Amino acid sequence: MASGGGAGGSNKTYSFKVVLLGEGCVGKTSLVLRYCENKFNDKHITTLQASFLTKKLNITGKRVNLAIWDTAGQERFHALGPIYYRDSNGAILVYDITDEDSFQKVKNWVKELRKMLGNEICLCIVGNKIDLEKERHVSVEEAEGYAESVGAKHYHTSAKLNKGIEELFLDLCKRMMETAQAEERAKGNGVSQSTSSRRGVQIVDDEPQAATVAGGCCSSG
Amino acid sequence: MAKRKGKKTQEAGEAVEASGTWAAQEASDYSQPSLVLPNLPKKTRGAPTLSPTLEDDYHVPVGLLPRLDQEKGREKEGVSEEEVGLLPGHDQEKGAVEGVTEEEVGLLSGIDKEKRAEEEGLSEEKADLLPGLTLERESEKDVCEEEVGLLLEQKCAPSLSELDSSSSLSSLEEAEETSERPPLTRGASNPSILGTSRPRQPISALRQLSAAFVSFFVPEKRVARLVEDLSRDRRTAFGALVQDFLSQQREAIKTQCLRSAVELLQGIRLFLSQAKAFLLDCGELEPPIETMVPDDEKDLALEKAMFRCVLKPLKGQIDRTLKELHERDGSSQNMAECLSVARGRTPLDCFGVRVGVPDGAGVEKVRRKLVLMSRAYSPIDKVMLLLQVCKLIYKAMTENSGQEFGADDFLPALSYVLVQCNMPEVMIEVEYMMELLESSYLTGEGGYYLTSVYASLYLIQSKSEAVPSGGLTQEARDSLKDWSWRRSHQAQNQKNHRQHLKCVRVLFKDGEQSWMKTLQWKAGDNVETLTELCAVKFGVDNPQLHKLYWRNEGKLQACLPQAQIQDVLGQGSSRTPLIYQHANQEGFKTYKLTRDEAVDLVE
Repeated sequence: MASGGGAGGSNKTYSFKVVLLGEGCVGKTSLVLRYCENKFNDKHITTLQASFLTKKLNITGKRVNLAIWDTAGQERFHALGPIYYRDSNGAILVYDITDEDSFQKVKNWVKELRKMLGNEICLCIVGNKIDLEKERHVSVEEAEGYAESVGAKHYHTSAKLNKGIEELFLDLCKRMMETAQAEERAKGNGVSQSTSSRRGVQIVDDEPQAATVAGGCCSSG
Repeated sequence: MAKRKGKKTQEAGEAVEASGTWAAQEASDYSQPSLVLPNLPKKTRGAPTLSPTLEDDYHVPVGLLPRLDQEKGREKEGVSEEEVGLLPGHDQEKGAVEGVTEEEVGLLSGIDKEKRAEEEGLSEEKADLLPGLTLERESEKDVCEEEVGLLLEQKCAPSLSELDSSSSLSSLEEAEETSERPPLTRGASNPSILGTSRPRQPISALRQLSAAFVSFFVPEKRVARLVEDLSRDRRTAFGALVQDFLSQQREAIKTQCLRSAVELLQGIRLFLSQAKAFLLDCGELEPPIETMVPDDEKDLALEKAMFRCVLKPLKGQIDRTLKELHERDGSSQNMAECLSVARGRTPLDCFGVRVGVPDGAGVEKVRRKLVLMSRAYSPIDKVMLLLQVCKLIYKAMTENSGQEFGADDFLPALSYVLVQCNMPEVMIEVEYMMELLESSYLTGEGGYYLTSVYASLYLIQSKSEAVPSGGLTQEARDSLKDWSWRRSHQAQNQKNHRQHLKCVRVLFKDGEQSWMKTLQWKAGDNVETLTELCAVKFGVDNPQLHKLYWRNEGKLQACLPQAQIQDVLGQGSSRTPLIYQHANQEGFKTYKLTRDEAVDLVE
């Protein structure tokens, strides 16, 4: 029910939104298609299209609904990022190991995400196309070191060979569940200030919202 | 694709057979990633592979059969109730039942529908809608399967993605259904008078049958109808709540005291959520919603019902007001300008489109869908039309390639099509949907494509300006942050609200007369507060002489003024009414009671 990390009732179902970021041509679409292929949901109008995909998982008895939001990676669409990644529980930042530039783009995204969404979004940095190891231009050490320095996890994948993808998503789900559980606990202790604080946006409520229902105090004969 | 489907059907069929019962099938809806759980329970799936398939999600007729039987058993009651309502004498139900037959027969028989549409001058759109929907079905094996899909999907938590195959756009169908049942007026002792004043057509057996048939398939329609009827009856607490809100909104709109479109829409959204919670709490809906739809469909059914009783009557005014407000702040003109600039700038290059896009006829088709979208009052229906638009675009993209596309290719194509359609008003539609849809509906497929259209429109608007290096203007970023914050904040508020607003039914006895009202209270209110509220609501002249009582094993017992209402109500049940009456009436009542028992002690 709840949009982000939410779960209700005793029979818990987590719903997570994961946004997919990365330059065009790094293979984000193939990555997510690989993960969701054979599993695409027939109810979707777009069926095989990879812009929006969902996946249902059962992780240690907990149900997880994953919604994967693809974004356009071309430079000209960069500014639209916030429209897509708001309210995300996780982000998958993909670069091409043969393309130094695409790794630089990932760094930019990380900076922006941390700035806009704070520390509660789970970040995955993914070096894709490990089938082209010979042409590697981004060193493993550099990439993993960077990921660690920004509190992200690093993964090596190949959409072509279907390597590392299942692990990536599973790991991300577990981390998002942990984050959601921690948030719930904090809420239970009255520590956290609702989701608004985690979105890192503070705006003063201009009008008492209940005003609109003033006349609706119930029965009038 | 057909091949793939065939395979899936087969697999899913096997899965069902293997799992045996429907419950097991449902449990296996969530695949267990083989990486964590090497030992899959036997009933869920076959051998674990690294890439577990999720075909269980794909429902097939085989799996439907047990489910259908269940459904039938459960629904039987509802149907027969409705039939009872058809008999003369059950006046209260009658209005609603007439609604069923009119509406649902229209739904079933295309001809009837067509005719009605013509009368309404909607024939063109209707004609467009119908083939459009048929097209939608092309890929399905047959209609039956689609219905099956529809039924099965309903057991899942509502999400827009799942709504997609539902081919009925209620808010458009109702356009022809509205024979405008007049609102029940206050104090009308017998609502059926309204019904009988119209020449009533004899309800044929066929109609009865089809009504029953449809309410079997579309129980949420029945909910919507009943809720709508309730909302028009001012004598009910819910009806009063809705009618008060409607007149308040009309007034606000008329006097132009609204500052922004967002303010208007937010106010409505808040009311929708509150009224929904109120309706659940007050127990006025008969039969209770639980008996009409399963738990997990409840919220969606209620949401649609609320749209119908609030947005439908306000549609014209809201549309006009939004248009005015956007003209006033210049955003409509700006959008129109940006669209024409973009059109002049070879849009294909402008967005870097690398894939096939709809041709002239395709764009025209999209346009017609967008026009249709603006006629629907329900944001859910609007989103479904938007999804159909996206589908048209994908269709053009994949026509020559068969490739699967992600956002890298879709967003440019979408932007191109929106520019070609040249409809600045789409901006207002997007705002309407974004503000009025509950946040939980915005995370699904509908939410994604709505977001994409929003992003596209921003892109188009930023194109004509001197684009700042970051792309989006600060203003745009702020407005987004605002929106996002509002929505998450709002969700929080609603949760709090649900916990805080409660209903209690109070029976007012004044001599021989008595009447019942449903009153709202908050956690922390005590009896004294409620007593004061009763005095106002029942309009008593001497409030100090009136008290609240509760029934304790047949005897009336005065409530202590400082007692908390939740304690008085015990489990917080709103079904057993409290009694509000003159303090001296207490003795009188006891006396009467004893006299009934022929023990004439006091005189």
